[in-house]
Order: sequence, then structure tokens, then C-alpha cells
Amino acid sequence: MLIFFIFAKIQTALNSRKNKMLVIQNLSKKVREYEILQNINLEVRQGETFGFLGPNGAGKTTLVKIILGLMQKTSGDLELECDKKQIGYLSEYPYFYEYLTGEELLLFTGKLFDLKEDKIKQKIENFSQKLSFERNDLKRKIKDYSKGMKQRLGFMQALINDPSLIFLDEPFSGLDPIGRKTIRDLIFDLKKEGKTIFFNSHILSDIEQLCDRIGIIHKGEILVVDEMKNVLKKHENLEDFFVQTIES
Amino acid sequence: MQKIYLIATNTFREIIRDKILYTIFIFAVLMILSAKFVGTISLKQEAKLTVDFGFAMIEIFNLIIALFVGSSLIFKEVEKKLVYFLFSKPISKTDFVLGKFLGLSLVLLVLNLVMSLVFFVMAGFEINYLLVLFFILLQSFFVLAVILFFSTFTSPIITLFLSFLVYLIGQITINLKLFALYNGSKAFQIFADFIYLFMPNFNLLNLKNQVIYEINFNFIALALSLAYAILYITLLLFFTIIIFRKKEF
Ligand SMILES: Nc1ncnc2c1ncn2[C@@H]1O[C@H](COP(=O)(O)OP(=O)(O)O)[C@@H](O)[C@H]1O
Ligand SMILES: [Mg+2]
Repeated sequence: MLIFFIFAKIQTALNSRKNKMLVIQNLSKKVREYEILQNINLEVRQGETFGFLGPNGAGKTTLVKIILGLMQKTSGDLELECDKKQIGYLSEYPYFYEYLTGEELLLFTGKLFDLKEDKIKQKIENFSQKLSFERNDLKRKIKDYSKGMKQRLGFMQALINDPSLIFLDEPFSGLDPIGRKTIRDLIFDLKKEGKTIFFNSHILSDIEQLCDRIGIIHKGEILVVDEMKNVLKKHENLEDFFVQTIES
Repeated sequence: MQKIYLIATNTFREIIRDKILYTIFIFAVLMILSAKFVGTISLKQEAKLTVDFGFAMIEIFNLIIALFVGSSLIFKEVEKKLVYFLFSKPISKTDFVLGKFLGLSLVLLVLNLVMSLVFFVMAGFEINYLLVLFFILLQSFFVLAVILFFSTFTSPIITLFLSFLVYLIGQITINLKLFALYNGSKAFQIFADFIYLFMPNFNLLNLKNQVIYEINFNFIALALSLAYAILYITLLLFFTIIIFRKKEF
């Protein structure tokens, strides 16, 4: 009986471990004397959409960069349950090699993931329908793209490797309402496919339905992490909750 | 290996799609061809002068292209926030540095092939000329490695300035040493020895005078020079990678 109990405990422990895509413990980042991130604790579970919210300059981008290895943490632990080949990332700056055509960029990106050329082309075909990219657009140089096109191209390059964990840094900023809707629909699709999504945003409108859980960061510290449905139970809307949290 | 190749070919594409390169290049070809004219206006030693001037032009344009393209090669990628895109993918900073180096080296190789062709059309073909041209190309790979090294920790302008300085010093290290030995104070001698020891010695790669004054080549010395250049380039790339790996974006 005892053995069974222990076994069950281990089983659940293993399961909960398995269910986590990302575990961050006591992570801090200092640049010279300035603490950009202080004692961050955070978990992201497999298959969930996590909204990482906070005002400009709160430290959201810095955390994502540390997770991706673009920056080094100063202290703390960070465990990522998948390797770089399974990660997709859209930076807050959708800038790419301007001298390439959209198609060339995607081929280049796909090859960085060791994908075969025909497989990449097939992916491009799929994406361009979803994101209303014309064949002609893909043959044009990126320097001639509009901001919206670059953003959509950014999504394509982030998803070319069919990632299981996707980081989107400010995916809604600088888009018109239609652009925002396109991106929102796309994220909903990814959610349906069972992808784990982590996105940063300082824009709160229209993301309530999107997030399973949210975290709020302010001045480098995480103030709350909670299920979206709990937040909505206690507060009128996300914006309300956000303002209250930051001001308290 | 695959990744280095990807970065190299992409860098090659980046450079050859820049119109500035063609402007410089057309100018280079014209200057090489003008060597013929320089040869004819001087009455004596016409052929020698043509060859000498041709080599000088090829070397200068190698330097110009390596300096102006190379000094911003890595900087541009950081400045234009392309590193966020690139280094979130499965690629190492080592792949990146080596890819960038090989990409521009490939451009230099192609340009040198064309410039050499122009040179041979103008001055006639000799196997010795080919040797000189090969060592000029080797020197520009060398200078490029110096440029990439500086560019990991200073701005493009300062990189340009420092690399050019190293190029100049590299031409005269042996002269400096000898001058110090016969004329200098003790302190100056130590300084000159230091420079001679650590600064790249580009003089070893300069075969122009040997060809022009028809001195026979010492092939063992050439092989050693080649080995020296390769070793030094490898070391420079090694330190470039070490520094670049510490970088945060
Ligand atoms: N490399 C750096 N050196 C110094 N300060 C930095 C650096 N990167 C970011 N910061 C500072 O850290 C804070 C958090 O920045 P960031 O993570 O970009 O915020 P967010 O993405 O939430 O808007 C800002 O105050 C920013 O100025
Ligand atoms: Mg940000």
C-alpha cells in the first residue's frame, strides 16, 4: 500500500514535470548596477497560452531574450523542456534581411532548422494562404514590404519549423484592427493545434479570450500570475485588473 | 558546417546585391587598365611600371573592399536587430563569425579572379604574376580577419581606422625592427621588437618586388609565409569568436 502510494506520488511528480514547458526559478538580471529582472518565478505549461503583460520597460523582452539565450541571466535557474529546433520566435522588431525576397528569407530560415527545400516550399504555400500573402509578394525584396507584411513574414519565419513552443514579443503592437484580428485568429489556430504560446504584450484589448493564464510584470518584478478565468471572475475586465495590480 | 555554408552564401548574396560594390569594382578595373597608360608615358622600363602599377591597384582595391564592407559586416547585423532573428534559431555564434568571414572572402575571391583576368589581358600571363596575385588575395583575407576581430568590440569607423593602421604597420614591421636595431635607443628597440613579434607581418606576403626585380622565389620561404598567414588568420578568428560569444543582444 505504501509502495503504491509512493509510486503514485512519483508518477504525479514526473507528470507535472512533463507538463511544464518552461520553469524559471529566482531568476535575476543585472546590467551593471541596474536590476532589469528581480527574482522571477514562472512556469509555462504545455499547450497553454500564457500572456506576459506589463507596461513598456517592465522587462518582458529581457526575459524572453534570456530564455532564448540572446542574453545571459545573472542568477537563478531556467529549464526549457525543448531544444532550439522546437522553438519559434517573433521578435518585437520584425526586421529581416532587406536584400532578400520573402521566399529567400523563409528558405534560409528553414535551412537553419535543417529542413529540406521542398518541405519548406510546401510550408510557404500553406502559410501564404493563411496570411493572405500573394506569390508575387514572396518574390519581392523585403525592403519593399509594408510594416504589416513584415509582421506577417515574421510569423511565417517563426513558424517555419512547426515549433511546439512559440514566443511572440508584442505581436499586436503597431497593427491596425484588421491586422490585429488576423494575428489573433492565427494564434487561436496555433492554440487549437496544441502549441504552447508565450506572448509579451503591453496592449491588453482583445486578448482576454486568447490567454489561459497571465502574468503581470512591473519594474522587473512579477506581481501576479493567475488563470485568466480567475481574473475575470473577480474583475470586470483584464484592463481593470491590470491597472489595479500595477497601482497597488 | 552546413550552417557556416548557409551564412557564407547569404553574406555573399548580401554583398553582391549592394550597388556600391559595382561602382568600386568598375573603378578598380579602369584603374588596372590605366596601368598600361602609366607604362607608356614613362619612357624607360615600361613593362615593369605597368606590372607594378597593376599590382598596386589590385592590392588597394582589395584593401578598400575588405575595409569598407568588412568593418560593418557584423555591426550591421547587430544594429539592424537581425541578431534577434538569427540567434533565436539553432545556429551558433561560431557558425556566424566563420560564415561572415567566408562569405566576404568568397566575394574577394571572385573579384580577384576578375581583376587578375583584367591584369593578365593587360600585362600578359606569367606564372610568377599568378603567385603575386595569390599572395595579395591571401593578404586581403588576413586583413579581413583583422577587421572582423576589431569589429567585435569597436564601432565600424574605429574598426576601419585601427585595421588600416595595422595594415600600414604590417607593411613595415621588419624595416622598423632593422631601423631600431641600428639607430634606435634601447626602449625603441624593445618597442620595435614587440611590434615585429605581435603585429602581422604583411611584408612576408608581398612578392611584388621579387617579380619586378626578377629575383628567384624561395619556395620554402613561400610555404612558410603561407603557413604563417593561415595560422595568424586562425588565431584572429579564434579570438573574434571568443569575444563575440560573450556578446549579449
Ligand atoms: N542591454 C541593456 N542594458 C541596460 N538596460 C537595458 C538593456 N536592455 C534593456 N534594458 C532596460 O531594461 C528595462 C526593461 O526593458 P525591456 O525588457 O525591453 O522591457 P519591455 O519589453 O517590458 O518593454 C528597460 O528599462 C530597459 O531600458
Ligand atoms: Mg519589449
